[in-house]
Amino acid sequence: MAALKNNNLWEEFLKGLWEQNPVFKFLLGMCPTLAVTNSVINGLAMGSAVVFVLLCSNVAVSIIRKIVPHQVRIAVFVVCIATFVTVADLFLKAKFPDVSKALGPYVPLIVVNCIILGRAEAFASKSSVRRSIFDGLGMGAGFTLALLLLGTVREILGSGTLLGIEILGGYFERWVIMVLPAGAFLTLGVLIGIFNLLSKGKKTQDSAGGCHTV
Amino acid sequence: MMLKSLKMIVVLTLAGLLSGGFLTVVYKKTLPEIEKRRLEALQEAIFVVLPQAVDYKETEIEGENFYQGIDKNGQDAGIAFLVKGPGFQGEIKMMVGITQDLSKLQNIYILESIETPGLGGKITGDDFQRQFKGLSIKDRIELIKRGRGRRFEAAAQEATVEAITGATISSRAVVDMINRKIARVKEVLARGE
Amino acid sequence: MDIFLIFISAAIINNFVLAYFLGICPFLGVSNRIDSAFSMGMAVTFVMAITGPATYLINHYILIKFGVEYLEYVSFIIVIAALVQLVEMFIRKVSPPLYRAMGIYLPLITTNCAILGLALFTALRPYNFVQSVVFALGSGAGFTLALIIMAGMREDLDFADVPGPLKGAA
Repeated sequence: MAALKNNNLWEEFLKGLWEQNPVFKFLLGMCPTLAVTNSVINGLAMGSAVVFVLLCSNVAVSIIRKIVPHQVRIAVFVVCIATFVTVADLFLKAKFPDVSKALGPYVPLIVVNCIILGRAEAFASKSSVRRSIFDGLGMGAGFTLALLLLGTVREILGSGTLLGIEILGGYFERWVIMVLPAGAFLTLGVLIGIFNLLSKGKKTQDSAGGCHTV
Repeated sequence: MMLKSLKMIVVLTLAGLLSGGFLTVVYKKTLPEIEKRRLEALQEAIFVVLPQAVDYKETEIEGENFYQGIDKNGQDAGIAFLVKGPGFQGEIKMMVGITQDLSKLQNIYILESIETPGLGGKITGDDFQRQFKGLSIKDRIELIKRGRGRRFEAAAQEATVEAITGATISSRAVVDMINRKIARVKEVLARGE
Repeated sequence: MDIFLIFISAAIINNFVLAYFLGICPFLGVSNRIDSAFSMGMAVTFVMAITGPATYLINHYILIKFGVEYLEYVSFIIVIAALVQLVEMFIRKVSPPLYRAMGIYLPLITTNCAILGLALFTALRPYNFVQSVVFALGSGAGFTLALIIMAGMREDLDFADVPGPLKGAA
């Protein structure tokens, strides 16, 4: 019985990485995905912040799921999320002020990141704390993965660097558009196209409950 | 029905209070470090705009804060002060350093700004800020639009700054607020002497 | 700051969707037809026009006054959620057909990054009350514009031959 449960937990984690990748499959959390992926470091920082908030809020929501009246659940979830985002923001300002400046207004925007509210509503409010933890980790990891992919492409082509280190040398003419909004949209479009192509074989019927079911 | 409404209100209020309480604690704990960072950024800015200074002393005259630079021989190395004002997109905050005799601008350093990326955002770049080095501040600094070719170094003798193409408003905002502040600084220091 | 300039810059130069990436979720979800795009845009503009100035007031007369700026995110989101709820109830009472027409969009607006983004940007800028109203209206107009442009393109794309993987989310 314990072995079965462990398998399921591991699956909860994995599904967020590919089958139900919040960014590529459900197009959730677009705002930060496009905004902070002009460099890999920024993408990584945002991903970590989202994992933190997602984890905390999934756990909190799961714990209080039986006491919160149905009508006010969204309001309560949102207050929870905003609280953890504030904690993350204060932490960044204190320990990593450069990152805080680079991410700017997109840190508080984690509050309305569809992924977090979406998981709280569709999963954490109906599942045990243990499963919520793994779901949070998986979705957060999937999100961070998407950010890293996008960030890598944009940083290498747009600035010629990776994690700030020059890797393409002076001969490569930087595609400046990559670090601008237009490049973000283009790159994301191509990546989604590739994702669709690769996952054509695996059709999944699960719904992750995005913003549309809120 | 009444009980249901009551429960909703209680839960919401409780959520709000818990959140507020928790955040106050976290805030208090992180405050010292955040303050430290702010001070570090300020100090770094002072040393950028007063290149000779290795130390500084903060004074306040008539509500204005001044940072008196001190060079390695203990002599005066210029005066720095914060300049704040509205830009095109939001508030611009910068540190400005002038010579001790109030005749020339030593350097400026933009601390905070949220101007349009790629256009007004260029005010934080070297090309724009470099123009302010050594500018005469006996009179107002003038903003001119592009026209006389590359004059970044030549402008040092005069008191003109070339606006960023496509970002006249941000450029003008910077120059205007510097002029205003310097006028006030001269006024206050003259009275203080 | 010139009122006209604030409006134009918010609507076009610093367009919320295309420059700041705010409001993408509804942007991708609702922009397949021009009329639904327009309705969503109007709904968002309406909510923005109320929440922008409301959060401005909260920021200046409560948060800053009592030195509790760190409660900004929590208080803003509560205000937004409450206002959207009120707007929904108001429209339901005043014009049921209007409510039915845009009913589903309204609760979605609470989690629209554009609304919270508007509140946060207003707090960052040295606008006064009137300027914050103009800023809100300009941002809403820009959002609507972006949505309509996208819807127009998508309506045309429906007739085009797009390769399978590039048709959108699976």
